Amino acid sequence: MNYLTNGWTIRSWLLTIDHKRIALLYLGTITLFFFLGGAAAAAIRLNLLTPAGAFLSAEAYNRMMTMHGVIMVWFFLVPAIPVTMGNFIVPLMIGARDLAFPRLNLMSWYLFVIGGLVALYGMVAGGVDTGWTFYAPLSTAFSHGHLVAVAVGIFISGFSSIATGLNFVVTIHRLRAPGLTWYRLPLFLWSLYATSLILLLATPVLAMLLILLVLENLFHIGLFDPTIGGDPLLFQHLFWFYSHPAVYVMILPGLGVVTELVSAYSRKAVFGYKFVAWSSIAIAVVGFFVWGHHMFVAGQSLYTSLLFSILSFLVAVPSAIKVFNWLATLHKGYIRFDAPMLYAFGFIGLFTLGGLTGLFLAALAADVHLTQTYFVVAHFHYIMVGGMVSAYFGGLHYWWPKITGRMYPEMWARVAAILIFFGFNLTFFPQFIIGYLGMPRRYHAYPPEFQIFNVLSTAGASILALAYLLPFGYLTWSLFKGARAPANPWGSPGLEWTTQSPPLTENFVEIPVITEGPYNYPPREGLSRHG
Amino acid sequence: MAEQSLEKGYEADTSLIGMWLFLCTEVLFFGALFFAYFAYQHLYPLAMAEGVRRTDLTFGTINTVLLLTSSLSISLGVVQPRWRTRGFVGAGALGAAFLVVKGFEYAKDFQEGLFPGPGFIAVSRETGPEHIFFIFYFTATAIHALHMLIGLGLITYALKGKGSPVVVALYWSFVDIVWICLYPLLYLVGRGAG
Repeated sequence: MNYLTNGWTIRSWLLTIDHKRIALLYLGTITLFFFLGGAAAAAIRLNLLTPAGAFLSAEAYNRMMTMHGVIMVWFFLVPAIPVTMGNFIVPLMIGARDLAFPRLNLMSWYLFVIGGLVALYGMVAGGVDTGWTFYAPLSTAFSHGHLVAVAVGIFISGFSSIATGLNFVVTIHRLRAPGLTWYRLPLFLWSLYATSLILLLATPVLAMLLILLVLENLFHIGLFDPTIGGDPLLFQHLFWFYSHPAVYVMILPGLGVVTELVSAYSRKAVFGYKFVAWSSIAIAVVGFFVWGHHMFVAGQSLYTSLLFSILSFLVAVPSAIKVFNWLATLHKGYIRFDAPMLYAFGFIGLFTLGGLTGLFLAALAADVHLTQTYFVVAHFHYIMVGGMVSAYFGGLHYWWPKITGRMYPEMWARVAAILIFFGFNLTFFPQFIIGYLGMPRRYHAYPPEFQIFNVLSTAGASILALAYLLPFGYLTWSLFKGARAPANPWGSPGLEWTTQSPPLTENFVEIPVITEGPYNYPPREGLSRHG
Repeated sequence: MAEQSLEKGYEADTSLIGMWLFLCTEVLFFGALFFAYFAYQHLYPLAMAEGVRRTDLTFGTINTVLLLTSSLSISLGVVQPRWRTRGFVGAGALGAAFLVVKGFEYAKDFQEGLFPGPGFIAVSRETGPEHIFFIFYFTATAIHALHMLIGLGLITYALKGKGSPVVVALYWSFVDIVWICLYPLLYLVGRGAG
């Protein structure tokens, strides 16, 4: 008996308050959105094969680009790791039977689905041509599309974010097993805690902005209309006050997953536990004070820009702490190159590259040249796709035996991991170059001299698309044909591996009592325990 | 600790923490609106003051009295279990009265052409964009009224003996505090000048 076999009816899934089943409901929904957003990306890349634009009109291209951004940001990247792996693993990692508010958790899924459907309706019925940023006055005076439906959809799904964040914070505070002190928490939980704080404090600002945007579109109230005294810069301030911290919502859970993977596959305790833990909090806090670096050329004062530039550089410090600590963890470790670890290695390289190019953009003088070019596109895709999506797949493979009770096929998984890394770099590295050469982003056509780089990029994207379909195929296959997973296939010391695979509905037969830290690997010859 | 969560008191504490966290998100939610308000206050002080002079001080003050009394009533219902039903019923009734008064005020506002948009009637063109004040007036009071409606629902729920009365009272007090911030900004600041 386990949580999967505990009830076979549709009702037992749709009305479940089991965090593990809700995680699977989310996993299905998120996967659907990932492929929808991916399809829009495929259309974009295909169109850019030729300088004049292969098959999309300017209007259609703008709609595709907006759809890609909206779906990927709000319906995949922001929720991805917290609602799937977070939902599943948090209670298991802290030795609890469920989250603090199980019914709120189920409600968050329904809100997410409703929000997603409303937004999808808007994007299918007429589309939105503003880009995912909805900048005013473009979105308020010149846009032709179903902006209101999309904004309402995002607004509704925002409540789902808030509910998830609130649930995690309260759960981690209240439901830890006896003896599980804060410094004994797995580092994944520290990163999820930091993520939840951002979700709680940033999402409401977006909610208010979306309300104002909808009112503007419905009643033409003129809040952001510069012709009658409105201030369009205010829109950008409020938008980025949410959307920059949201970038850390997308990446922090990934950082947490990779920390777990690096430790598990080098069989060593994470080097500098406290630094890694607090660097998550530091990223969350500093992340709230850097939003102005999106507005260097938007017309804010030079002194404001200077401040935001300096603060943006500061984010590099906790990020670098994480990277260096992963490397120090690997040092003298017993490293296995299983698929999750391949994803983790891919993450470390791509995240570093994405982070370092972020420094170019944080520097005022360089940004004036690079802003609104493909350099920016490449930069954030290195973090979001190269980083976050790699971490997502790494974590999914690592916890797959626990979630499903089945092993995934290792060889196929390694092939997919390597293909993803290769395809990703081929897609996005050329974009650094054309961006540096001055190709602007968000256009359906471009000057002919950039064609070779765009062809390379599209070739990479087709490899990437294939590589993303692979896990979908073999993971589905493993659900039925995969070998039965033991309770602890990787020999990891974490609490979630002490219970059976798949876990019981109530997670643990008896609530465990914790007496040691999360990465307590047996010491090896000539190696001190903490590296 | 999961075993402890079965205890009634522990569960009530957990939902109280949940409500506090939710109210933190609410602070940021209204905070965004206040931030925008102050930005425009800084840009167009004269036009914003003109807006304040056109709101109805009588309605606003009556509502402030109603809501503060309502909060007193719900607080008494929490501190003294004997007064629970009376306190909560009183708070709900005063809250409902607030919404009725607000409805009359809205009707008058619409008649005077205060709703921003194409039909807005400005007093003078010299002070600046006067409609902006009323964007805040209507957005803030409408969202506040929506919170009141949710609060009335929660009070009814608590009166049926469900949920934690402290949590409901906490939410109600927050809605009250939002009004305490809105009242001076929408009815008082700048009214005397000019």
